[in-house]
Amino acid sequence: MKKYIFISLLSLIAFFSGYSQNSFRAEGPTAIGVGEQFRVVYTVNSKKISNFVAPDFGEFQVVAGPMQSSSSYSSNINGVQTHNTSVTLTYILVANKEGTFTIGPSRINVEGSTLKSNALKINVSKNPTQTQRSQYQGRPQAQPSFQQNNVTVLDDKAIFVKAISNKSTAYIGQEIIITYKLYTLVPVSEFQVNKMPVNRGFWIEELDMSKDPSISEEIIDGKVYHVATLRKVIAYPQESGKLTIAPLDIDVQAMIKVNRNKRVSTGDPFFDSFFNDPFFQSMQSGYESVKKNIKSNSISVDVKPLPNTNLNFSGGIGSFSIKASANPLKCKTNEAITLRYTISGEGNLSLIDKIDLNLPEEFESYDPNIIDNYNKTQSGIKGSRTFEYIIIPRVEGRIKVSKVDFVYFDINAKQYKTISTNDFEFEIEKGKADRGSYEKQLSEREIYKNKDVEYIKTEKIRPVSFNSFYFSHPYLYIILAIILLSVIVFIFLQNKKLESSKDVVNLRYKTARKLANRRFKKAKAYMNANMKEEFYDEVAKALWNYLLDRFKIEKKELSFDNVEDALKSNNIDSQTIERLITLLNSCEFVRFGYSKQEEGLVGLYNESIETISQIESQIKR
Amino acid sequence: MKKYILVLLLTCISVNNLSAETIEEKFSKANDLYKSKEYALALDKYLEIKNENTISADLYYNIGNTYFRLSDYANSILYFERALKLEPKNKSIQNNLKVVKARLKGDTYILSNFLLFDLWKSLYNSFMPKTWIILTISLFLLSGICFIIYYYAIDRKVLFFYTFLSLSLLSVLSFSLGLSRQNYLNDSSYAIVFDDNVQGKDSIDSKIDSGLSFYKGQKVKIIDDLDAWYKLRLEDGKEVWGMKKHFVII
Repeated sequence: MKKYIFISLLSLIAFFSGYSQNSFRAEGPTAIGVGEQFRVVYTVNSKKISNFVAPDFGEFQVVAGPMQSSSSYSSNINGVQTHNTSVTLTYILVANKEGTFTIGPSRINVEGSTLKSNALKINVSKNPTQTQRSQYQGRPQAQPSFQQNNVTVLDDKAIFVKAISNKSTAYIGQEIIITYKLYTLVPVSEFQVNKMPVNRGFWIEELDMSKDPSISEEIIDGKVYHVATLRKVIAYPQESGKLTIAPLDIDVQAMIKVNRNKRVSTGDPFFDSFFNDPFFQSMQSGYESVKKNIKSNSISVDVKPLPNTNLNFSGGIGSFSIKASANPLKCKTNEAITLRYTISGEGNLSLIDKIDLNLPEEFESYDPNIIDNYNKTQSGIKGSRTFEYIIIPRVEGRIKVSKVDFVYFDINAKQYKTISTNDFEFEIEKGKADRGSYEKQLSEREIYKNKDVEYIKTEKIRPVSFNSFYFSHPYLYIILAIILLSVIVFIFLQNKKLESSKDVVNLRYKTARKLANRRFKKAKAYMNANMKEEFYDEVAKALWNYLLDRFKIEKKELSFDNVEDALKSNNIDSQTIERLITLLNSCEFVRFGYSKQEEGLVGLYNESIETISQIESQIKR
Repeated sequence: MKKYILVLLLTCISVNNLSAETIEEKFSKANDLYKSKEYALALDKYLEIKNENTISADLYYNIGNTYFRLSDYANSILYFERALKLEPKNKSIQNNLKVVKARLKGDTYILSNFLLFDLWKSLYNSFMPKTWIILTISLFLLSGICFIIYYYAIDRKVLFFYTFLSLSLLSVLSFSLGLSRQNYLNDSSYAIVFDDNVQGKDSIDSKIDSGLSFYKGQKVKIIDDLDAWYKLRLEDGKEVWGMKKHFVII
């Protein structure tokens, strides 16, 4: 039960602790079962928010969200009225896979500055065990027994809260661990934090309480107190001077013993004596729940400023080491390279938000990814913070990324220390995407650096009469139009002329013999090549076309009879006509496969030429 | 061949005959001064010719050389670029421009153009616009003749048709190449930075500089113009605003 309350309180603490600073926090379970829905809540203590960048949920599937809700409250602390507003963004997620996954940090713009939330690490198992669940959901636990619970008055001795800090002097940025402990002689059924202290000048990191549910016993003034750690924070002072950590104010619901001396009367002597038995008496003497408001003591810390330095101080205070890795060292242009700088050690890791990386121009880079792998322990933050840069080489060649110097304040030596990584040299080959290369351009430049200009031109000056409107000048278009027009006019006139004089037919008439001869030439070539079919084809075409053109027969009227008539009307003697018809027939027979008879090709050829010349001579007559 | 055509085309050469000295005389005088290493005097003479609105690649080239001798690299680059505009394939101009660029304090990675664009550019830079016009007209005329032949031909009609077709296409091509060449000559969107350490801005009203600075002699392309500002594209593709007073258009 107590633990349950502690845990619910814890989330309250975590929720309210944001008010001490401009904070942006992510909260969620640490363990979850496969297929189980859970919520991740982002809280920011301002309403003036914009540009909320959703985190990378990785393997988790978003069921719903982000659901935005805002709340505001005002409180009065030591007469100082404070108004607080907060906005929460809730996601409901479900895990589909087993394993440990990280929900990356998200970003939000608060009043002009960008805040970054913490990353969440969530362990997803197939069947989440009860204990794993309880870390988040909380389960009642056996209450420790109170031997000395004969407290009847709930005074400052019976129950109090103590704030304990591990140092009274610190440097700016040095961690101070503050523990709030509840000392009690009575069982506590419930408690509630009225308000979280506003700690000006401090950056507060909550310690995860679920890992040490320490309920111990301590003897003070001969009394055995049950001691529970309510809250543990790491406070980083942000300014020098005497700073005060305000007290924690809580309401407690405690059980105090009530002695009921009243006798029970049932009217039955037997029962009366039975109930008034001491055994029952002790049972009946019950506990009463009493509410009390308690406050812890306030803590004052003397904060010393850091010594002045010319170095490029990173803000890191503690003891750190730096390690760098790059992968791959050899690649092609436009391929991504991952560059990791890991700062590990003890100190204010969460406050180191940049490293001094100077990338050469040849790389294109983006803002680094910050990967945290640290634990908030009793003695401060331990672990590592990794800055992961994705860089893309744009040019080929050997490109050096010089070392990163990390300057931090060593808290043990009380002086600044510089630690460095190694240099990286990347071998970038030419990728597919770009044709020209910077390397080439640079080497060409080197060559030309040592060259002198060529001598002046001493011949003629060759001035250009430069008219910048050549193509907008109308004369070009006029000339083109004239050419076009003359072509059209020429064709138009020529057509008219031909049409009126039937020149087309006349032309054909004049060239009939010529065309026939051309075809005979072709036929002869076929004959020599012994291509019979083509030969007959050509001879037939020659004869028919000749007749068509020479006697001005229309193509559709072409027939043996028409040909005969036309020849006759032209006074061709019947012997020649018969000869021609025989020739045409024999050609036709062979062409259409009616006859296998093959006269000598040479004979047919000579006969055809002879016939045509006969016709020709008779026409002229 | 090109020279020959050019000479043919130059129907009228506007030479100011009224002035006491001809341009040719002034030019050779300036050249003599240059030869005797009187660079400042030679420059005055060259600029005098230039101020008479003489457009000549040779003149610009010599001015570029003279500025180089006087270690005024920004002006030198300006004139070499102007000369190159007129004769983009002149090897001497190309070489000298590279020599001057190598002496500049800054350096920009020059993004290469799209291959087809380069091809087109080298094609249209083969001739001056006038030559392209003559070519267009002749090709058009030939294609017209071919069409007539095709129209009346009895034999080989197909051959004449395709000849006509290709000639007319070539004529269109030559027209567009000439137009491109003229646009290239008329293009005033390139400029040279004339001051050192000119700071660029991401937007005009931005209070802080973009971190991108120009160096003297750098070639930039003007892509926008607003009041006292130019929006510029550098040779590596980055875009930034700069004050007009620092730039001289090529």
